[in-house]
Amino acid sequence: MSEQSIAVEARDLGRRYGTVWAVRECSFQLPANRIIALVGANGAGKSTLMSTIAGTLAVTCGSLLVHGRPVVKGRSTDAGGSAGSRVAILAQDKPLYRDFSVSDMLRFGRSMNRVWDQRRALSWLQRFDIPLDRRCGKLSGGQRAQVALAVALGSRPAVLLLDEPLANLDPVARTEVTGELMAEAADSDMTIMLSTHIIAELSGVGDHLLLLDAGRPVLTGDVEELLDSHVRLTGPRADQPPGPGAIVQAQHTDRQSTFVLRQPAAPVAHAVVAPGWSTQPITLDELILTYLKASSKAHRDLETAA
Amino acid sequence: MSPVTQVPAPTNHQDDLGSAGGVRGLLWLTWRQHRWTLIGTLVLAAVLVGWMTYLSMALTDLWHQCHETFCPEHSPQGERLAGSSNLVLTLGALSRLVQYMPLLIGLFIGVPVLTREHEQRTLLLAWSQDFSPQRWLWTKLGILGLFVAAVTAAVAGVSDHLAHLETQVAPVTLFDHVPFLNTAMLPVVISICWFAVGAALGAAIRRTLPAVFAVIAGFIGLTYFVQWHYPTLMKPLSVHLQMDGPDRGPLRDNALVVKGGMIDYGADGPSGAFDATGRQLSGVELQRLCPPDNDSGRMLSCLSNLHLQQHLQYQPGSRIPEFHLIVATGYLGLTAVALAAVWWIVRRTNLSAG
Repeated sequence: MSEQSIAVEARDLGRRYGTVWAVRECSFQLPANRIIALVGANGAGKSTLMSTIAGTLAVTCGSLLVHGRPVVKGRSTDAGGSAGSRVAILAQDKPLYRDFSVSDMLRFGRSMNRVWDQRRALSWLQRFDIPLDRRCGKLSGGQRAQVALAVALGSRPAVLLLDEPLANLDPVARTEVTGELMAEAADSDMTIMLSTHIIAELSGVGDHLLLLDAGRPVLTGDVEELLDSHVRLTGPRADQPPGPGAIVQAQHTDRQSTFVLRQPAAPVAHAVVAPGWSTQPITLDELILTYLKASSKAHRDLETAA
Repeated sequence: MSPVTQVPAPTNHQDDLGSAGGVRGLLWLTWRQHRWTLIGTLVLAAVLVGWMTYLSMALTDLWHQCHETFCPEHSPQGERLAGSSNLVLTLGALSRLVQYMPLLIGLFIGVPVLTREHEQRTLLLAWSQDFSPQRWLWTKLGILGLFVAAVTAAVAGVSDHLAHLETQVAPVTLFDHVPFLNTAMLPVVISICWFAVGAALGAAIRRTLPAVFAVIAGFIGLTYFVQWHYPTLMKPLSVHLQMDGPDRGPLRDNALVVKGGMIDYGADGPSGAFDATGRQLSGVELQRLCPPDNDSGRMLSCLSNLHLQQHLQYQPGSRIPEFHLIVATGYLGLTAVALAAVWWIVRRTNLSAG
């Protein structure tokens, strides 16, 4: 990827709370103008990683670049960055000033940012029928989330970080929000990173995946490419799979073996590689669960060995 | 019709405000967040200024009626200035209010600067915009600090004028603790100090109620510390004065008696009196010369008739400006420490989205 096309780059990033590492050995490159799904179990380090990218949390080690500019904690884009490296973050609890009206919140966004797109913020609120004169403290959880999203979108960031953005929304609103977010990303030069621990929320949303487990990235890449490069092989019991590729997961019963393989190059079609064996494509949910289980098993093995 | 449909037509697709999003933006945000506190402070200050101005006019009238000197004790004007009169009680209450105004400013303006953001969890929202946390902090503190300075300067000006008028109509001294704190630049300096201390304690504690208690405890402690220490900030002068004499000598112009001046009735009888040659009389000698009785007036006239003297240590009124400067410097030093603490705390504050 060229530097222009990289939105976020982490180099051996680590963040420790006391003696506990929330994020460690994180090295990845995330492409620009895409929707990046940051997935991990509770406590995997998703919020910590997002906060370090936003510059509100200092890193313990390593470095972070947003559109080629180093992220320094506490330094705003106003002071040292360009408009192209502006980052907005929306926290899990969607904080708003409770005694502000919705239009006050828009004015807050306009007052606190060098760049402000009132039309974009207003049209977002209109789409979800949010009354502008109501105090934020009187809004429902879902409405508060929409106001917070409107403020974040109105600042026209280059990178928008959304921590569990769908948590307060009903299923219909989730679908609407994800659809609108995808449209916003497509219409602008914005990179959206959204975190979730609910894999079902991701279907059809993210086009790039960053999977975290215990603070470490265990899988990153374009979703389509990842799905194409992984295959499940099922056949008679065997110690090794009958085809090329790295074993991500191996499961055995008395008579049958199942392997999930990461193949060196995406095959055009998943051909049957040996008699008695069948290949199946893998879904995103299965891919994520497979890697999380594999990572968890690797940790257990390491602890046992230690 | 829903307000959503009443939105004014948007202008440019991208509204780049440039400097409009700078100090002006934070000025609006500060006003929007603290408007009721600021309005309350303005109302309180207006009431104080108005009431003290009215009392100043009343005292000026009395001064003219008493031929521009102290009003005699048993005159109608003297009655109005007697210890339990409404005028004196009101003057005392207003003086206390001016004295405690810095505490109110620390509690209601200083503490919430950061505790409110912590409690509503809006700090991440505020600090993740284009304003850096330090710029957000210093602009806000600057705006609120200027407001505090302007409001307290108005109150301090009227309070200073009133205190000076009181010394013209009654035998009070500007060097006494409360008038000393309520005159010249001290109300402004002390208010700014407690505003900064409130903000610092709010930043450190992050919760409003505990920070409020910390500010109250600190204010009371420091007020008593200053009250206890300020008379000896410079070495006092000494003087021998005739007891109950008509001439108060160097004590006339707002002097502060630091030590002496009263007969000390210890276990071996009264002491603290000196004869004309400067020899200190023992308690037995004093009792023999002026036997104690229940009428203090008779005893004082006895002491006066014998030309007995008392030894005093005092601070002359001419030193008030120097004392004000010393105390103000101390408070400004505390302000600097508090601001440094806020800067350090904000610099070290890490915020996580989770």
